[in-house]
Amino acid sequence: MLCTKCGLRESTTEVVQRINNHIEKMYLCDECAKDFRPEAFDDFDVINKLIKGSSMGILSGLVNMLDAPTTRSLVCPDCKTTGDEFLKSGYVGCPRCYEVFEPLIAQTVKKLQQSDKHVGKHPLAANEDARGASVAVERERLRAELQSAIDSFDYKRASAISTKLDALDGKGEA
Amino acid sequence: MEDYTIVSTRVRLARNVDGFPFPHKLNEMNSRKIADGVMRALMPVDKFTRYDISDLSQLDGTILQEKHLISRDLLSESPFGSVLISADENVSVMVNEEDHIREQVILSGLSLDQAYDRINRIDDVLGANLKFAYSPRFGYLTSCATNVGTGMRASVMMFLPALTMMGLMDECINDVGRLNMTVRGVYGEGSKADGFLYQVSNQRSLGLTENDILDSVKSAITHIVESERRARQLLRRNEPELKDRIYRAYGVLTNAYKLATDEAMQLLAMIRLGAYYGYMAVSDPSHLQDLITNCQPANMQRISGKNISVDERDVLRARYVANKLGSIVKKQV
Repeated sequence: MLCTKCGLRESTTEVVQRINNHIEKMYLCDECAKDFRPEAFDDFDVINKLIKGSSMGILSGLVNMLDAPTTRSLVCPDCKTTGDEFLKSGYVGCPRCYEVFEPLIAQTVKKLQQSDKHVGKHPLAANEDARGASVAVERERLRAELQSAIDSFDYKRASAISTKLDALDGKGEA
Repeated sequence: MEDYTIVSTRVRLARNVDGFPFPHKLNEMNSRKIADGVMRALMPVDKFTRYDISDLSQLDGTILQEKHLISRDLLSESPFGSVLISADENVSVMVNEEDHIREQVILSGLSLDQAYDRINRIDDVLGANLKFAYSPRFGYLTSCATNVGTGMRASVMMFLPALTMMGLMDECINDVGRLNMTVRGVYGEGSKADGFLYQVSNQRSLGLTENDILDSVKSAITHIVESERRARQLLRRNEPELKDRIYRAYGVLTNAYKLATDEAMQLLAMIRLGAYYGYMAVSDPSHLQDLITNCQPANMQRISGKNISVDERDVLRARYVANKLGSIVKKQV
């Protein structure tokens, strides 16, 4: 099927969203999916995302973005904090919450701090060499995790790891 | 030259230990584990004394709070909280307050770089012994999203009598707000800034390096110091009135029979301002600040060495201040 938005390219992604109780479906090509931005986060829930495999770059941006509304109802498996609790109080319950509610936290933090990307000290950085070394270790660890996610066809996890890798290398919108 | 505008500098870092829920979801056993871990890590650095809030009397806790070594929240909202304090009382590490670890250094005067250097070294030691919760994207993870990133708050305690008396504080707060700084009263958030003392600190902790934050605080402080200096010049236009207020403050402080905390704070502020104009000679400005700390209710109680009523405390305060003031301040004629 051709892309609903540009009508030019073959669609690879299905977006189903609820806007004021009205269900709307869109079929987007890779290019349009990349540019897709929900206009009012609070007014819709994304129910479904992907119909076909998509290239990693697009997947990573899209999945992160689409996760945001649904994260409100997510529960952290470690401390049982919910996305709604975070939105109400500004507090999370444990370090794991930052992974579980990442898109939601990024959105909130960006409003509060005008940024969602840390550029300061790193835990192992007593000096610059140590920082370089620890980044390299972290990169290797993430690469191995990424491979294992791809091997087990867990593309959602893979895209999240890929975003982390990009952030580590200072690439992309973090 | 001492300009009697900057009192002290504080830099704090918020940290959490990976694999544990944040303090508001943490049980007693795990809270103790974290406090023990912090204590073990810090032992080789300096001689730290540990106080567990559950074992601390209300009075002893308030004394530490009045000295700015612990926060009100640690005292009243953190049943499993602890604090580790260095022998010189310049470093305090609060455990299980809002975050697992709040490391802070307080130095007198404007000492942002020195304070950061010292806390950074302590942070390196803690980080080498405890695995901090950290993500490459968000930096140091904190229980509240407002502290994430560097987890750093650099604050400077300022004495701003002229801006306050001339009704220019709101304007000043707006100005520094544009530089992403916050201005608060020293004795508690949102409290009236007793004795014209204010805390100026950074709002943003993410998307900036630690040095960026220090630089932004420095430039805000420079701006405020300059505004205060100009306001003090304007205040001096009516010198007889000004001098009279300051000399009267000295008169009351050295002669009163009873002195309440608020009154003592206000009058001591006038002495500090008098020192700036040269109407009062002060041997060491830090003694004035110590006097202000010791005038706080719990510290006054400590000095008395026994349980005393509010009235008795006010009498003791008057005697104590008159006595101390004689040795640290001389009226210039």
